[in-house]
Amino acid sequence: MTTEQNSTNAAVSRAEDHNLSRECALKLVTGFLTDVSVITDGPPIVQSGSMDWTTWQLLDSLFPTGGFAHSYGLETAYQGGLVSDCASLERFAVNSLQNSAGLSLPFVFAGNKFPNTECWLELNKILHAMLTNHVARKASLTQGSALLRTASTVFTEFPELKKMRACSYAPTATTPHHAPLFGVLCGLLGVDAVTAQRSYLFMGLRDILSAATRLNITGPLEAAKLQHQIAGVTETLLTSFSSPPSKGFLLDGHYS
Amino acid sequence: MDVDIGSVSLMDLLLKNQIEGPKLNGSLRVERVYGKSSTTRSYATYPLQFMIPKKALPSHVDAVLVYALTFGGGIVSGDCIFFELNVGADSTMMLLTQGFTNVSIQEGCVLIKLIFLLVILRLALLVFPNLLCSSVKGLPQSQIYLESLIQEPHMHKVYKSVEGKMSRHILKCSVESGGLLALLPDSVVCFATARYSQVQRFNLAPDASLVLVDWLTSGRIARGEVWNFEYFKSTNHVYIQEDTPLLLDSVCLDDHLSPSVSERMGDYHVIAMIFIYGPRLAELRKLVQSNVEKLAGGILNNRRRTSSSRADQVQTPKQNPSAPAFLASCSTVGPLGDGLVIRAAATTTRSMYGFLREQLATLEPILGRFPYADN
Repeated sequence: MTTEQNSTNAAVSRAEDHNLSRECALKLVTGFLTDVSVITDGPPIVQSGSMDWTTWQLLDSLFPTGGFAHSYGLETAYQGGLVSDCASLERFAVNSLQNSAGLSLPFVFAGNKFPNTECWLELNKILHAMLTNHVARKASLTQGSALLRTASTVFTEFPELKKMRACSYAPTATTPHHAPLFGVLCGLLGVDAVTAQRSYLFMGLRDILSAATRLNITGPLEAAKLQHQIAGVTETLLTSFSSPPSKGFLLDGHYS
Repeated sequence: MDVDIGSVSLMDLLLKNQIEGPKLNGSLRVERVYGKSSTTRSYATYPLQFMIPKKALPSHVDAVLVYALTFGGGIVSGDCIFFELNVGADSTMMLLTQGFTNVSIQEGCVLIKLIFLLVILRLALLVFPNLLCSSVKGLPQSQIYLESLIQEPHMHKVYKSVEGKMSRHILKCSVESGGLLALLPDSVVCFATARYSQVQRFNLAPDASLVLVDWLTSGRIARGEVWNFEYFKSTNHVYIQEDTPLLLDSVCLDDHLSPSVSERMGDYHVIAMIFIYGPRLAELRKLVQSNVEKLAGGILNNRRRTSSSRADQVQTPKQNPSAPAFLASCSTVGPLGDGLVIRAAATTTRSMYGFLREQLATLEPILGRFPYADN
């Protein structure tokens, strides 16, 4: 066992020992990652692997953001007869992620590059006008608000998050959408832009397949198989749609 | 509207607006003169042409009807049609792009003069081949332009792409307080291998009104060209007072991505978007919203019953037999929820014309005619 693993185990068990709530336990663990002196005495060992803990925590179903509430339009597609089996589900998932990538990834990128309140407010205003579908818009707001509430409570080392949360209460309240906030959060945490965008697409795929299982379009094993099959295609989507545009990306009809 | 953060502009990152740069082909302004909407500025250069028939509307209607046409009846690759429209306070403008086959007698007289002019021009071209060389490369293309113009001057035809070039259309509109702009074009029809990009930017006063229809068919279906184009992108940006974004929408169909456009569109041959905003259109907006919500609900209920429904004039899709032949949905947009976006997809152009005609029928008292009534 490495020093890191030992210390993490110690921190978690200490939290359990003191009967702390789950959120406090999380805080303790993340506190360890950014300020090692909280738990151990030795010098901070910030390896590249330590970023994984944060990224995995953001994507885990344990993270209380209600990410499974949104079906990305699958429910309506199923009711409308456009999706009925595994093959049509796969087609739907790929098309839906393509749409989501094209629309949201630039916002994730922008938030990641400029993780401050002013930029975040501007991004919200723009995305609010771009989400022309009211169901998608509401889902983005729900996920965004939940993420803001959770992140400002968990990642207390970033006062920016509390400032942003205060903005969402103000009389001229901003509309806290999911994609820009996720980008800003990743930016504050030090997650790089590509990983942030990949994570966003991962969550999209996760949510669609989770909805498919709940709607009984497919079983959990089939969904897992599909997730593995679509992974390669989703990575291609990331290359095509992520910001900054890579070489060969189609920018308004012109290949660069 | 631009936010500079560091050395990178936010708008650069997110939105690639291409308003500056291309040459302005036309400019049109309508404002209130002696209590009536009148054209106070009309300027168009080749290949754009504005036609403003007088007495085309009933005398009690206060509106200006404008046809926007192009020489050649479409946009060739490498060309860019860029024009601007200004609607002054409390005035009304309706812009159409319908073909010659659907005009009234008064309009016909003006058009006959235009055809005569074009015939003369064609003869002149035979003698002086370089007459129309501004954006036309050589004689054969200009001859094609004239021939197709006389047959069917449909502005939104997009010809095939040569050397990978794009056909572009840029429209910049502003509507002042109490003004109304109705943009009711024919559908865009992209020929095989065409590449088309369209940007329409609207700047509205808070109490201005706008009804916008933006739609696309799969191609020259009769010739077997179905979703055969290479690239299509339509961008519509609506702002309130240059400052508050109301609608930032972009539809992009790129055949270079997988799956191909044809696979993705399935049996649907037409897609359309309607946008309604403004105090003068509040009644229309509420009516359309309730109509479309009922329609959308009806489609879902029919599917649930799984019985063969609505077998009237629309054909059932073949690729996915359980998919409905007509889809429509609507959403409110804007910070105050006072704009309405309607999206529809249909398996036939006829059913889409019917939908547009039905939903926009209440515009007749304001505009003096029923939109999309002649098809």
